[in-house]
Amino acid sequence: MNLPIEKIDQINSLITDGPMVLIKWFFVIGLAMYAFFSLVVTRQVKIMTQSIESEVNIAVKLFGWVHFLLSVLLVIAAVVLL
Amino acid sequence: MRMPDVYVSKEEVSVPKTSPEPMVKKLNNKAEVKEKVKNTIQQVLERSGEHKRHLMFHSYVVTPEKRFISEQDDEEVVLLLRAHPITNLRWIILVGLMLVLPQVLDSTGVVDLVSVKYVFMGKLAWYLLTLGIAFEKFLNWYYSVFIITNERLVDIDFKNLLYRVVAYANLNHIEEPSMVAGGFIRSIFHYGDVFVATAAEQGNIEGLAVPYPDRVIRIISELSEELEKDRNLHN
Repeated sequence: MNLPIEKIDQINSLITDGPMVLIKWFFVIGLAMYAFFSLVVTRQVKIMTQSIESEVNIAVKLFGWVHFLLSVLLVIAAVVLL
Repeated sequence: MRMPDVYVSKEEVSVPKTSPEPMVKKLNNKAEVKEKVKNTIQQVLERSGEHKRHLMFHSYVVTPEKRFISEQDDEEVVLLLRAHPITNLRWIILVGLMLVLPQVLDSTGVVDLVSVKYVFMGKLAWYLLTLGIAFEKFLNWYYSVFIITNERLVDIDFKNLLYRVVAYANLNHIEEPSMVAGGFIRSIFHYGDVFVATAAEQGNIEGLAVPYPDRVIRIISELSEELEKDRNLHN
């Protein structure tokens, strides 16, 4: 039985690209979990900065939010670029 | 016969006016108490050979003038302690190694087998993770503090994400404080553990790996003694 060329191409692309698609979504899920973790860190920062007055509190809060923003951007980048 | 008044105007009603004196007196008392507390702390610090300063990346701060959670109005922070900065060395080395790992993998040529966009994204994710670990470790070190005030000991610990433990012990409810400062590294860098047994049910309150534990013990003892003297004076 001879398969048409298009079918063979489709099967070939599934074999070669399939694992990469799987890896992409593993990557995205992993990064999404990390983004959730970084959101929890911002809550932690809030609790910590409430517990003691310090001159670094503002910088720490800012850094916590920048860290969260970066992790969200990375999730978006993974979905778009990979 | 005079008829009773149906309406009495406001001007005729005599309202006893409160004198502002007690309020002023109260404020004066508050200021006096604060001044007295400051003087006592100053005396205690002088006797312990201490003065207002901070050492070792703010891990040993004398009279920091910073407020903490649930601090009372007439309370003054005498010592603010964190774990000695050298205790951070382990995670700093780990973060350093994590930062150079991508370069090491690049030089071996292993990454050449993987698509460029995956390598790029992988590197970004790796550096973000490294940043996250460093940030988390710094937070745990910086915000886990052992505070000595003129009235009590406060131990604020962060065990993991969102889990804060705050322990208090009144200075007039404590037993004799003790310390452990053995070992090679601890002796070189002058740090150790401070344990204070309390008469209350909650047991010990501890400051782990704090700088100059001997000075800390001395200040706690002096403050406790001073509080005892003050109580005897009032009785």
